[in-house]
Amino acid sequence: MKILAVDDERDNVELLCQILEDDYEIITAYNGADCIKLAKEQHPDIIILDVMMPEMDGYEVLKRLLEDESTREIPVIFLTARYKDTDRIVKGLESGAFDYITKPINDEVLLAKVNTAARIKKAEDEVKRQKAELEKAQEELILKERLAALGQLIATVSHEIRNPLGTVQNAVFSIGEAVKHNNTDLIDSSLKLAERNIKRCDRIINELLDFTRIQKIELEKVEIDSWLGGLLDEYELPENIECVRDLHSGIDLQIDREYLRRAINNVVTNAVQAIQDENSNGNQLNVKSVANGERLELHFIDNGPGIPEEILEKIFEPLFSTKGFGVGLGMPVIKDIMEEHKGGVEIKSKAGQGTTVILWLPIQ
Amino acid sequence: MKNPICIFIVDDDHDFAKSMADIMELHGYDVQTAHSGEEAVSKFRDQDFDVTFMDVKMPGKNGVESFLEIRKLKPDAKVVMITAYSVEQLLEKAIRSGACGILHKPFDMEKATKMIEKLRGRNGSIKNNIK
Repeated sequence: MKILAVDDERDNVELLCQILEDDYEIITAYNGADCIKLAKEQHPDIIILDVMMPEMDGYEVLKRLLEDESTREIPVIFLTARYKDTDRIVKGLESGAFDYITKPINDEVLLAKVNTAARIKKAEDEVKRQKAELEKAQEELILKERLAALGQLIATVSHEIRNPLGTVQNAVFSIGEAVKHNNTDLIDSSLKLAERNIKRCDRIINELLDFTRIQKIELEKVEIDSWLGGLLDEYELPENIECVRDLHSGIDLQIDREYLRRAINNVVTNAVQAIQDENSNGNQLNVKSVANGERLELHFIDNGPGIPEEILEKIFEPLFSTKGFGVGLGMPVIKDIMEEHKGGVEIKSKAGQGTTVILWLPIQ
Repeated sequence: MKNPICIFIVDDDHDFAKSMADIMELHGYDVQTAHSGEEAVSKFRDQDFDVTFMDVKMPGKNGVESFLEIRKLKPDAKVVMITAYSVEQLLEKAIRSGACGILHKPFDMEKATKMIEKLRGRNGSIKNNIK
């Protein structure tokens, strides 16, 4: 370990060297300015610092050492001539000195105090090193988890896309054969299969892109009721589903049309799928816009089979999906979009009792 | 008249199962489909199939679990695993237990029909030729 010994009287410095040089490497300085310079350049482990020096006294030197990040942590042992002067001693300790030694210097006391300071400095350095290692390990763990999640995502997406691709490949083959034999029924049904599954691939890719891409939203002022009405008009709902609207909130809001459209798209698609599910007796989608205190709420209520509690708990986790297709990114994407707008999404559901999804935005 | 060959397609993706069934029918085979492992096992109790194509990844009972159950019911059952994403260990398990082969989606249906031809007419013990 390295000790910086500082005293304006050379004899004192010589004495310190004699006492300590067997056990430590010693560097020396004879004034405050040199002390600070050497401390920055050589990174001593301990500084033994005389208090009474002309130009810059020990307190001033200590103050400067403490101000600098690179020298702040070095324990400083004051050399003070007046041991009866407790005020000075207290001042020294309070100002950040590690310890003090009175002159004339007693070698045993000096060595003991220096050894103690050295042990403590070693322990502190060890703690710092372990902390840095721990932080590095944590970063690596987080990175690994992200890569694992990414790997999982890629696997899921690959699987999800390969299925519809396989279907399209088969359908195309069937169409080829059907044309040879003029089998128009088979041509029709195969074309439908192909078209539906091509759209499926596109949807999966969109889900994936949405998930990775939500960044900047561009706001414009929109009359929510008429805008939402227009969106609902565009959807081709299956014939057996009735859409009942109650859009009378009267609110205008700043929204990103495209992102919010995607979110609503997702919600409506989920509702329709739920109603179409084989376990469902549902036939209705209720869409309502309502100003509720400081929130504008868009309610999407379906009378499908509802969502059991154990699934509801996980529904916002990325990659969680109970459906046969779809990569389980819909709900987390909706949540992201709403939170970008400083709003949120809530789901209320009970198995057997349908589901209500509320998209809400703050009324500005 | 020879009994038509009966093919069983098990896949939770309804569209994929239908598209595969269409082609099988074009080749003159009789086809049945199931959309879950449970349904597949249940159907196997009541009837026999010449060749079964079983998707691996299905919600609920997966294809390999279902295959193992079916083997208990009908040790001679000829089952080909089909998969869109290979979970290596699962597939190895199926092969070790006697699955007749693996097809990776999307596959050329010719591969499937070639497999049927190869497996056709074999009865008794099933030799696994696919490494």
